[in-house]
Amino acid sequence: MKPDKAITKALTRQENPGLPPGFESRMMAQIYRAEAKRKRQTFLLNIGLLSLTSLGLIGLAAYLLRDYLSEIALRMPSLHLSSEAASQYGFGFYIAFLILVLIVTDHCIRHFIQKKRAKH
Amino acid sequence: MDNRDEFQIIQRILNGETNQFSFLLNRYSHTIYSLIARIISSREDAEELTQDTFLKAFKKLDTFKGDCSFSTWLFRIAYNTAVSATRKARVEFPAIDETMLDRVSDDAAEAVFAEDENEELLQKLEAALAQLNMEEKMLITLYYTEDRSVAEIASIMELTGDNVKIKLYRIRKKLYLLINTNKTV
Repeated sequence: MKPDKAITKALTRQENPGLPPGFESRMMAQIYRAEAKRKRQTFLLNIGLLSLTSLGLIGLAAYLLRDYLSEIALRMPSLHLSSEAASQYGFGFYIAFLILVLIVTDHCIRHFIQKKRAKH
Repeated sequence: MDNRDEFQIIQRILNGETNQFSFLLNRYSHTIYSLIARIISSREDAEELTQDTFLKAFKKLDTFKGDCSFSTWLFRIAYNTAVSATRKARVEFPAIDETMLDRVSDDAAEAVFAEDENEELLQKLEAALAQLNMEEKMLITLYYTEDRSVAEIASIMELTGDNVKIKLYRIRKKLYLLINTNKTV
């Protein structure tokens, strides 16, 4: 279909005025304004989230102090590990170690793929 | 500057080097303005829509994944921006009966549009081009002026490749009908 020379010529003949002078600098000024606005919004959002989290933690601490802390008797527990309990602890540590290894491997693979994609 | 350089510039912008956006602006502002000016009649609106396009592109830059070229992605934003603006303005274009389009043979249209030295034909064609709707103008501008492939046009306008081809054939027939209608008037 491409050699429709008449259509191509008619399209290129249409008057096509260039951009008014100073367009790019005006546009960049708008971009900087948008960036400043975004930064301000992110800052306010972060402050809001931090305040909410802090308030939540303070509230939780106050609740714990009021209801439970007074009833807790502070004493050091004495540990008597039987061989059965020790093997269970060992198994628990093994699983935790395995999960850690898998997470690190996953992170490395993702990092490698991302790097490869960025190269392409 | 190739696609890889562009991707690096985009990464730098996302990492906080906002001034790098001027490279993309220098490279594409004229192309985008020229494209919008061809599909929107008012020059002032075209300039405003070009600004909107770049502002949207900057705000959504983190969503550009590099699965298509940056220009394709930018053209898509420009097209969607122009479509939204036209929808708001409720611009109406003359419609042509579909059965009349079916009656036009591809060979007849091809024969007419093959020559580009006939001044009368070119003038009629320019008048006919002005009567196309925005989607049609966008399609032919991308295909004939910007020299984009059918696959790229499909990606920009969110259509299938077959759909783009069919629409291009129908636009050609519509132009053929419009220039012949103008002849009889």
